[in-house]
Amino acid sequence: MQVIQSDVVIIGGGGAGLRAAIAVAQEAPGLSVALVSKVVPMRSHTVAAEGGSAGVIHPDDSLDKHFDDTVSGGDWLCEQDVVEYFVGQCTREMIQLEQWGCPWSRRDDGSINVRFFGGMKSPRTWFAADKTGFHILHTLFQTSLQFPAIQRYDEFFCTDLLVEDGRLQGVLALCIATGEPVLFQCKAAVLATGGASRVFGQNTNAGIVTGEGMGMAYAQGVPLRDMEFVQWHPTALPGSGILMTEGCRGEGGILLNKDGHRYLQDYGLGPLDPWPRPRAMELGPRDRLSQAFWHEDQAGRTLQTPHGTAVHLDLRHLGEKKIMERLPMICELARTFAAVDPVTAPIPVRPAVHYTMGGVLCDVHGATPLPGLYAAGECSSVGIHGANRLGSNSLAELLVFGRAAGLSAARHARETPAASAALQAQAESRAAVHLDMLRREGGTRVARLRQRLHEIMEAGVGIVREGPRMAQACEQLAELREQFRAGVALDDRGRAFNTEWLTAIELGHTLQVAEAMAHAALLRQESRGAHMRIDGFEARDDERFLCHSLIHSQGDAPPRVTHSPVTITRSQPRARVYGGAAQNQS
Amino acid sequence: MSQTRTIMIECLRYDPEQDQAPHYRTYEVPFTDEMSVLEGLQYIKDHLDGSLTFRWSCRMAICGSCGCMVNHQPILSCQSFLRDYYPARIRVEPLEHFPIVKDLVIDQSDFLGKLESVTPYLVPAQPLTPEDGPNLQTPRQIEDYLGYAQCINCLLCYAACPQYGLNNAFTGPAALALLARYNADSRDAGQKTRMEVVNAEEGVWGCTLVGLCSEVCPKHVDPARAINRNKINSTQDYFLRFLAPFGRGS
Amino acid sequence: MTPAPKTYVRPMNRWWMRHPAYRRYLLREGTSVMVAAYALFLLAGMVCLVLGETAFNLWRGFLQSPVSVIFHLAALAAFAFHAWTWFKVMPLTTPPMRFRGRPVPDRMIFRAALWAWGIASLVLLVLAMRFL
Repeated sequence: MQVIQSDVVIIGGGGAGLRAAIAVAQEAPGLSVALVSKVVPMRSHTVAAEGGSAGVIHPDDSLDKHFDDTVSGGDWLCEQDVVEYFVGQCTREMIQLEQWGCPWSRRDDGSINVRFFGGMKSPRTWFAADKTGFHILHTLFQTSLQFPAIQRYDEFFCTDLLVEDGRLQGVLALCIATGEPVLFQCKAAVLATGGASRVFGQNTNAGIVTGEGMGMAYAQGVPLRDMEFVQWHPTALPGSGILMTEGCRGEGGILLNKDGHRYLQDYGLGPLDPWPRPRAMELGPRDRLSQAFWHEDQAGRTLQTPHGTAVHLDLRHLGEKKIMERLPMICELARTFAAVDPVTAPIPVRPAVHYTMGGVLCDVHGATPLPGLYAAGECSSVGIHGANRLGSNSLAELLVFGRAAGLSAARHARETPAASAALQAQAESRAAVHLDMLRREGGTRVARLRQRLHEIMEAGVGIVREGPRMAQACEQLAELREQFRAGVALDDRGRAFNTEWLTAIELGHTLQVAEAMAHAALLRQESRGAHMRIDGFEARDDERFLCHSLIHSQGDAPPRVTHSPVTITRSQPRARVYGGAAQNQS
Repeated sequence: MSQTRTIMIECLRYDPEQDQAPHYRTYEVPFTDEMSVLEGLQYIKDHLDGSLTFRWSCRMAICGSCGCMVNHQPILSCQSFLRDYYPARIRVEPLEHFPIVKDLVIDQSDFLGKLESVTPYLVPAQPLTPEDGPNLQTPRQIEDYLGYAQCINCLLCYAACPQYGLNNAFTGPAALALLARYNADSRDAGQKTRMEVVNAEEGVWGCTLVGLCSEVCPKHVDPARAINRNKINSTQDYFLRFLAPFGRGS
Repeated sequence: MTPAPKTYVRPMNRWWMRHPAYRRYLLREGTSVMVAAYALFLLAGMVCLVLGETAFNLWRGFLQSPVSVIFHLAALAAFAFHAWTWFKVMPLTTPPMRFRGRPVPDRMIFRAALWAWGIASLVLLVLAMRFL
């Protein structure tokens, strides 16, 4: 087996991974970095982020406001010390990106322009039209090319983290083009593999967002935290799930039910006027908007489309000029994928899974409980999102914690001796397990298993949740994992660029992550943020559940869930209100 | 649900472990009006033949993974729709002018090397730190390069460029457009470094203005314009070197 | 690095058959052959002029032959097409231009070039009629 020595291995070439790699190369010279990604970095899902990234720069804004919006947006399940650090670093990172060339949208005088996003007291979202993630990712990727210390391994699929003497010492990967296993021996690794939204069917995410990074850490005994909190974005195209950015509403777009009524006023987000205004109506947080859709749908006030029910996102009143300047990609996407021109017609939208708030447990430095393993970005649970992520905090998270995790990993690598010799044997045995899949006969097709997973998750762990259905989902997931272990039927038996085989390995991880979500959800007997129950637990219960869920892998058996306290520094939990009620409160 | 029809999709197949040369295989795919070519390929992989291999990811025309040739035209398979080809059969092949790794997957390493060669990052006039605050840049100044910054590296332009096919030493459309993007940025001072790439025979002079690159670009980057404007710059640079008695940059 | 994967490189034979844009391109480049041919023809005239009156008259006589008329018509068509394509791509080579703060659209540059061409041809024709 080929062995590659590297001080720091970064798994994932999206925003967080690239930012971590640059941090090591720039701020810890002398260390070697291997950037290992299953796709060429600019294909990573960061590219699809549209609306923008948070950073306090507007004269009306303050770090305190960003802190408050984030903590209340997360329904007080945030680690407040981490949020404090986060809001203090965001603007620095946005400026850093500017200096690397990111084409942030500007005011006429050339200064940075910011827009409103949901749940914000002041405009705080830096944006590059409606292609913010695209520009951030390409800026980071191109900037990374000037550092010779960063050695890229594009299209290398990581399968396992290798632990020896109680610390992470290696990463096993498959070179996709040849199918050959490669062992990366390292002193530290940064997990930056993105979320797990593809656990669900209706989805705004790219096909690669399958959660295997979480699965790899989980399999090595690192707990996943707060996995029950899954964000439904309220405005995605029915069927394809393609995202219509929150920036649409930030610019003044409105949501209408089938009667042309702005229904959000009926869900504690009104009154209607004035519009637009912060933290109200269409600029409420995502969990509330998606839940309001569900209620409208139950009441039969949604529109029928060929791909399920929908409401209307209406931008027409913004006028063609503003739409084309601020939301050009939205226009193109709506025209191509929904055959609707937003300038002349409202866009049908419905909620779709968008983001996993939970992830691999780590601290403010990105350190996980496993020595040598760091995590950043959507795959991690550093603690800033709580029970519901605020729009535009995730791009900022990639940068702030990508850098932090990179620097921590570099520090760890400097203090750590070379990897142990026993690692190679472990790598060989893990590789043999994967290669064996190519030889096994019988079993179930990948597409069948994946389809079944989607059905189970949508029925059991959807926007609204009930105990018996979640319990059933847990059972069904155990059966599905059993079926997976019994064998996956592969048409492709070769090693070279065998995407069917890789998808099967990936699915093994995805199933575990799904199981973690379902079990954590079942045990949280309250409603908080994105976790909404309608079976007698409709209210938030701070007495019993102002705590994180920690999900521990038990191998082939169902996981064990424990709870851990939330760090509260200066914001005591209070009623989470938006719209007119919020103004009365403050 | 819209009506289901059936279309024949003919795919180029090449397995490096089995085949000496590519061959074609035809699949019968049921489709509805909103199904893209990519979804047609996914249908084949999920239900008919799991060994058909292609790249894809975002399915919304921004990641640049899913470029391929459909009926000899380079396209993004996620934003081309089967209804537009029906009732004719369609032929799907990997992007032209690149080596085939397997089926519809091409080897993009040559392009990535070219991308790296154009100094594709800001070279500031003097070093800045975040503490210095953001640069000023007016919307007018952004307009000068924003078009070139829309490139998603999907490689359709390389598949459209016969000059690249005939001689792949040519730096090519997307990489040269990216070069123009940084040169046109008011915050950049790296033009001199990039001039070497521009002037080289495999730089802008490798282009004979076939022009198809700009036509097929899904993001309207217009690489042909970027390259041909740089031909003027390259010519100026050449003559200025004669005019300046002590030579520029010598 | 891991060993490079085995790949298949497709041949480029008959590449111009693959896309109509390639054939248009070859046609455009092909018309420059006509430009060269006409230059040679004029050169032949010059040589005849040097050789003496008989030779020059012979050349002038040839100008009026049907073969020459066809040749001239073909050359004119080729030149016109070549010029047209030149003007078409001209906006791609001009530096970014603005008029009242807005970028000058490509078709304006193209039209301006066509007008300049037309006027120059007209002036040339008038001068020729007047002095020859």
